[in-house]
Amino acid sequence: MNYLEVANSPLMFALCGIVIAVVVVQAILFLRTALRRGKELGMEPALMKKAMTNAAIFSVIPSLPIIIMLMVLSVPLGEYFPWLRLSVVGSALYESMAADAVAKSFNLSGITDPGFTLPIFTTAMWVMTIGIVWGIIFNIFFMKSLDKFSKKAKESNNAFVPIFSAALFLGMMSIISTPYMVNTDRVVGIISFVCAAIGAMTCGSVAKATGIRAISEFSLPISLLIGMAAAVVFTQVTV
Amino acid sequence: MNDNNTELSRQQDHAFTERINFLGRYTSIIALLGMFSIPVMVSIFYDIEVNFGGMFAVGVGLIAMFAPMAIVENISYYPVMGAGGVYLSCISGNIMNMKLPCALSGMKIAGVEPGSAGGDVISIICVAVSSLVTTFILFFGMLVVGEFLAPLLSHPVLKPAFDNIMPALMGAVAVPFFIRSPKLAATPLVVSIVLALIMGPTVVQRYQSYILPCIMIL
Repeated sequence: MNYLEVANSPLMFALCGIVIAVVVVQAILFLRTALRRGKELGMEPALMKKAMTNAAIFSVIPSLPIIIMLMVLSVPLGEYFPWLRLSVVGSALYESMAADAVAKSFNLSGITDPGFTLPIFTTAMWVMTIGIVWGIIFNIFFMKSLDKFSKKAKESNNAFVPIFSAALFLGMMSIISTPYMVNTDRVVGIISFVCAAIGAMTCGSVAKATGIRAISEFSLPISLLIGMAAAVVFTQVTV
Repeated sequence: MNDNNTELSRQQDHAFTERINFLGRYTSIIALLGMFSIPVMVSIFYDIEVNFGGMFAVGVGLIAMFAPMAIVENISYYPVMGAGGVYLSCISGNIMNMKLPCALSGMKIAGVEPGSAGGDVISIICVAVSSLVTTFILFFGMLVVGEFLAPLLSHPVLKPAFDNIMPALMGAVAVPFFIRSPKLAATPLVVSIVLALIMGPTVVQRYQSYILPCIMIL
């Protein structure tokens, strides 16, 4: 039997659909708990609603390239398994790497090799699953202790902790962003980094000057689009 | 009166921590079982003999690479996103390019600090909404939209836009934070720029997960 018949079978759809449903239910449960907790802390419902709207609108743009990945991966792996993997955990890079490693271990040239069979496909699913679950396993065993430990640290040492966590946070931001700032091999990346940063700062000051708060609330999607547009313009001009 | 209030808020804090960890743990276990049920069911249903030896030979390389990375990442995300945010985003994925910036901009809107009680709440709200939106979009992407959306998105004129989502995102998210607290940001910023210049940007990206905690401690 051709493995794609299995990969695109109703059984596959049902199995993947169940897992995605679990994740949706999980998100809703957490959302409900957080909203209740926000009310308990005396947070303004309007602000929480704004944060939700912003999250929803912002998430659309980075979701679009995932659709392309879905198209690409669904050629060798069928429609449903990539659908699951890209909705849940996985990243585009990891999925293609893992599947490729499996194909190579069966002496094929890669995932698009016509020699791909049902046992190879099943093995690929196994390996892709085993490789990605470690963060989840860590959470199951250790997150609670980490959470308790850090909450206790916060209670005992009030003055130091906020500075400490702010420093941690800024350290994280700098190590993630500097590779884009100084990569002279990809000037277009620097351009779009700088333009997006200018966009974000401008949104902030324009919002302050005009008093229109919506501008600062949507500054992330706005400046993301500015940075992306700058990349398009730059490529058009230089090519 | 005041004492009663702090006592009450401490109890509420505790109840919330318990509830989030309870939810997080059990939904994670269920999701994990669900994920493994797919290869298991397919193997049983189609009577496929799985060569576990060969499978582990391939798997070990991936585990060696991804397991330590996943653990280090979770510990690094925790101070910013809180336990709830990490539980959720670990399962729904796309942390760096979506969940983290999303949570941060939500905190800015709500005027709460990362790591505070309010920050944890906003982080969960944003990560949950973001993950619902992605799931929704991918569902339609799989069903219909992909057929005409994919050629549009990979159009040569628009392609650089989607290739540069990450730098644009980091510019928009990180720079305002650097400017807001220049003193605290200076050290890690200088260290990571120097690292990136010496080792080359791609090397830093590859070992990001390992460098991340070191810089954070600095």
